[in-house]
Amino acid sequence: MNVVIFGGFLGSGKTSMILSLAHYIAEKQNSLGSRGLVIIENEIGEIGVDDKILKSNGYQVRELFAGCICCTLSADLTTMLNDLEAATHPKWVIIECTGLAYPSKIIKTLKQYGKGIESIRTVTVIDAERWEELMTVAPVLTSTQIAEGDFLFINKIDLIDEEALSEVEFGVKKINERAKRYQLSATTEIRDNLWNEVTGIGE
Amino acid sequence: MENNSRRSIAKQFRKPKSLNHHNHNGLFAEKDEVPAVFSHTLSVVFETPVTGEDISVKLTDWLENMRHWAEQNKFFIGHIKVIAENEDVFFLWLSTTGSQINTKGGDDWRSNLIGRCIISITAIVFGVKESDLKQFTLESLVLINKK
Repeated sequence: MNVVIFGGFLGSGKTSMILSLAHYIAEKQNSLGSRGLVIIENEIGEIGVDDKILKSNGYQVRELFAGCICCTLSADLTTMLNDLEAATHPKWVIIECTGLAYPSKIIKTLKQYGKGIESIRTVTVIDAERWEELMTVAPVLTSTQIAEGDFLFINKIDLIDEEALSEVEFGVKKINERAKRYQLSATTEIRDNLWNEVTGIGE
Repeated sequence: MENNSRRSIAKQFRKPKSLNHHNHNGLFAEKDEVPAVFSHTLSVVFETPVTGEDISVKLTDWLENMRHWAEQNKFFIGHIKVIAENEDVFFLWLSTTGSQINTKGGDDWRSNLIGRCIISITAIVFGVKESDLKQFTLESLVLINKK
């Protein structure tokens, strides 16, 4: 089971990215003869909204609600993954964290208690349009999410000018120099070679 | 909302003393970076069927109302999402982080004729008490049912 975790602040574009990745994996799966893809949605609030978008595109989705912000997420997530592994052995699992989560704390629990996990990769999606506000309102959360990403998607670049984009790039690189950074927007399609890098498919 | 206005709100934003008393032991955001969260579902029945486009207009108006309220009170919108659906094929999703409103829908959602639907919302807003967020959200949702 290969796990791709999507982190990043609220409204940064995680769900849209996941739809693109899911489409890519679904296409590759036919040639790979893989066992399937499951998406796990962790939403804040007691009602699922984003999971319905993913389901409407025909994907298998499991929901984990954090009705109030509490600490049982990791345990519930690990249980869910282990149950999935036992029942359906999915080749790929995409996890969308709530925008308020720190992916590293989830990863730590998965590595300790998860079964059958071959790889875990973290993609952090960054809302370039709200960079200044996020670093003012939630600097610790934003910085930590960026620091924990293996891949950093600087998103919504079509909504800012070049000077602002340079500031975002500089700020992101300062927090996490090792991760691969990509600039994306809703107006440009994500190329397969990007997902090749994230998933390792085709390497 | 103009960028300068949004930056102004962010700079004037004062980190609240523990508005929400949940114990989150560090799994989620830092204590002072915890927003108010409110989710709600309502069933809407229309006297005469309306189109998906009509519903989109109502939900857009609701989101605009929420945005305006947040801006007036210098709250910071994390994310406000709403979905409308019924047992048939109708499906409509709108969301905002404070600037533009994004819309996604199922096939032919605009022209679908809808007699009733379920509307689910989640509002995540910083700088406001949960009770105040709940109150305003519920009051503004009443407008959806009005002609």
